[in-house]
Amino acid sequence: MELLQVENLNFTYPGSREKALNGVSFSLEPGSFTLLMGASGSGKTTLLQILKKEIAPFGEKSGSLRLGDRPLEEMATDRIGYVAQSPESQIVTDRVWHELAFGAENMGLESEEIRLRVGETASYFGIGEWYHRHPDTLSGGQKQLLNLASVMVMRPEMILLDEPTAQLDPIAAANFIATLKKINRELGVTVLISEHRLEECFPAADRVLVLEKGRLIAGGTPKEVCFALREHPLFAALPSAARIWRSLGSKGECPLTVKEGREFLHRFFPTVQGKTETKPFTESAAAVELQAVSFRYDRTAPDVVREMSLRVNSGEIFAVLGENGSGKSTTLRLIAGLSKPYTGSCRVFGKTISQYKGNSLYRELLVFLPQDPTALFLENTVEDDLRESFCLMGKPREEYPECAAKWIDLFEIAPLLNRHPYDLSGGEQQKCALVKLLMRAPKILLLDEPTKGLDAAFKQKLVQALHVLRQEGMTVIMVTHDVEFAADTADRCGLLFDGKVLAVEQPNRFFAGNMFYTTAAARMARGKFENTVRCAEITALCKGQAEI
Amino acid sequence: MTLQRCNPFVAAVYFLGVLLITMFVPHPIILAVSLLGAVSICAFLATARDLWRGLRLSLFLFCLITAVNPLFSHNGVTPLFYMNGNPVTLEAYLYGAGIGLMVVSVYLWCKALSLVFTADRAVYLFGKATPKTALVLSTALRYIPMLRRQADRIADAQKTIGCTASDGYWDRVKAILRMFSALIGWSLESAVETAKAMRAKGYGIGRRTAYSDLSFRLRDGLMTAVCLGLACAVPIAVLRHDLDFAYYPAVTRIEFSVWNTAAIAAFAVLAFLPAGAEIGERVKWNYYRSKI
Repeated sequence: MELLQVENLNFTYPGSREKALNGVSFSLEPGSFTLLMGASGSGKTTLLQILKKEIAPFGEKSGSLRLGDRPLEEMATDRIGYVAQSPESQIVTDRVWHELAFGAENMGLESEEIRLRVGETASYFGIGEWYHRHPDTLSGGQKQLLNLASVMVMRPEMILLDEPTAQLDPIAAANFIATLKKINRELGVTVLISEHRLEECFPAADRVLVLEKGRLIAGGTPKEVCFALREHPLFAALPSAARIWRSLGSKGECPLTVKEGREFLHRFFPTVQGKTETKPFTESAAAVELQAVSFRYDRTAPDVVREMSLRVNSGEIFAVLGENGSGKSTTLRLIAGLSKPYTGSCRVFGKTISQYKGNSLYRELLVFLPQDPTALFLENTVEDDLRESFCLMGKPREEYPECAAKWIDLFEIAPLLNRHPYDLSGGEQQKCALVKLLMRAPKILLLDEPTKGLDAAFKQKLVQALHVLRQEGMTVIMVTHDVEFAADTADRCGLLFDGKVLAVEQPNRFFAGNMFYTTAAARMARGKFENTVRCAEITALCKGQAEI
Repeated sequence: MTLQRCNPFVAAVYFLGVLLITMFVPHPIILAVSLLGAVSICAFLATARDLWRGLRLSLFLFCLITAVNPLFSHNGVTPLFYMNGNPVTLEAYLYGAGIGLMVVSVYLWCKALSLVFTADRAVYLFGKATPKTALVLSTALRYIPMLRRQADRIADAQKTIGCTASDGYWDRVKAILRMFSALIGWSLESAVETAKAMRAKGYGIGRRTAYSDLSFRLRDGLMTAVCLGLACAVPIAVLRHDLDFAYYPAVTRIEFSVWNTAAIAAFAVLAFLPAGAEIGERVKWNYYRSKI
């Protein structure tokens, strides 16, 4: 007997001619773990919100929704839990314990019952240590775990999650998915989750549903879906092992994890060995130079950045990788002049930051894309925002269309120009923010976690855009958790640890040398291919030698 | 049992009692005891740096009030010298010192109060009166730091694109207004999301209970009774005129009787109760630890 049955669900937002959901039918077994995948704007959020009647969007709806043997509209609130994307704005109260109790309070439970539920949930999720804290003092990963736990206090049969790990770093994301899997396995709670980051979630799912433009285009076990999507652009979002499998001719069963990927390579390409050749790196004039820079946020706090020395050449893309809280964002803030080091010097094109008077550093030399691009937007539409920002640089209004057109075309944001910046998806905001920054014709671009919350297609576009910028001679410094993205774009990578940048290397040497902090492709290539860290490189080596 | 471990209700009764007595009983011994009590509890609760700052400010306030009072008040029977033809009296100095002592004591008690009443304890107290207010207060306390952080983020982001133009006064005002409106937009957006999360967790579906992880135990009741008992001794003595004291026209001679000694002793116990509890707690802990 199915837990949830959706039959021929159609949904249209008011004022829109296109259906957001079009003839969607599926059912979920009790205790199953189902992944809902699809590009941004494919209707994933709409579908999940319709299944949670309290927050269902307004619009024209048809079709039947049943939970157990009753229509969905009649069921009690606590049977279905919902976790949304933003860890921050979902937290309602000012204490962790109160947040846990919030749902139970709404159900009108008595204090003793709430005490027990909150206590056991907190210990199951390992919240004990930060039980009395203010949510502000928690990391993003802890906040999202709190959101999950506070839903679990209500003891739902099914939980819906809308891209819960999009704002988290990879380690916190893996931890979150593992906890979710544990709830599913140990408590038998049915899970329906939508995700962009599929490396961990895809192999973990029992079933995968694929949405495209409001239609369900595929459904089945992860391996079946891999097979069904072979020719589809969405395949780019699947785990590295599956991408290698497809580009090598889809032989045998589709591998999903690094382990299966290694087995696949050994089985079908047993004799192939090789090495990826990379061009040697040549130094050029320094764009940014840090010398023995130290910084702390408070007189009594520990150093976040400790005697850091770093030289970034002009015209290169430099990626700083590292754990959460290792000081990556702080490093960027120091380079951008937003924080001042207490010792050491930070030079941009040979001049220290304090030698740039007024706004001269920011007007044409250096721009900074913060982690949360919403902070950049001031006007009510993207177009107004771009134009105002252009005029504020002191340039004549007439030149705006010409200057903007180039970037608007590169990032393909023309359809977004009349929208409100806050209504855009994370990826769209990122692109508009980049256009706003690049119109200033900077020489240095600083990016803080540029791939946070982006789907595979957006990420691919960003990779291409960065390659275009490099050809134009722009210096790019980014801090990121996304090792795949760094391997695809960077000229050199450095690992930030203990307040210093260690081991600055070209990406191939860097990731091939690392055991833990490396790409999935590099893990698969270890012991077989030298100096190989990207899926495309593995494919090229396998193909090249297989033909001989 | 230290104030922090008591139920917030007990702490509220305690601070109310001590503050009222300090403010309305101008007897110098009571004020001195009150000051010492406040310093003793601040010494336990505040950090060394914070305590030093508090004491520095207190000393400044005390000296200021003592020095300024005689300039305005010329009452008193013991002129020390004449200024612009007006007598500057000993009594006026002493009166200033008394008021200074009172202000400084109240300031230090409030400091201790702010250290004991963390936001969640304040929310608990409100929650007992009206659960709705408590929830509003709790969401506000969650929201304000978020708003402040976003304001910083917007300011930083705008700085790096040179929009906080330091060109002129008017430009700067315009930049701040633009950032302010962006902040309002962001806060509305985020409020919508929070409201959604609240509904998803069943807010508004029916009767709501208010949960708290603090409870009112027997010893909290006993502690309240003790505090009230000790605090009552002073008003009784005041009503019996045992604690009468006047600065003008001449300073009253303090004569000790059984009654006023008892009232002062009771107040001293009350004022030093929190510090004593802290010491007791530490001694107890050292003893227990020695057994580990």
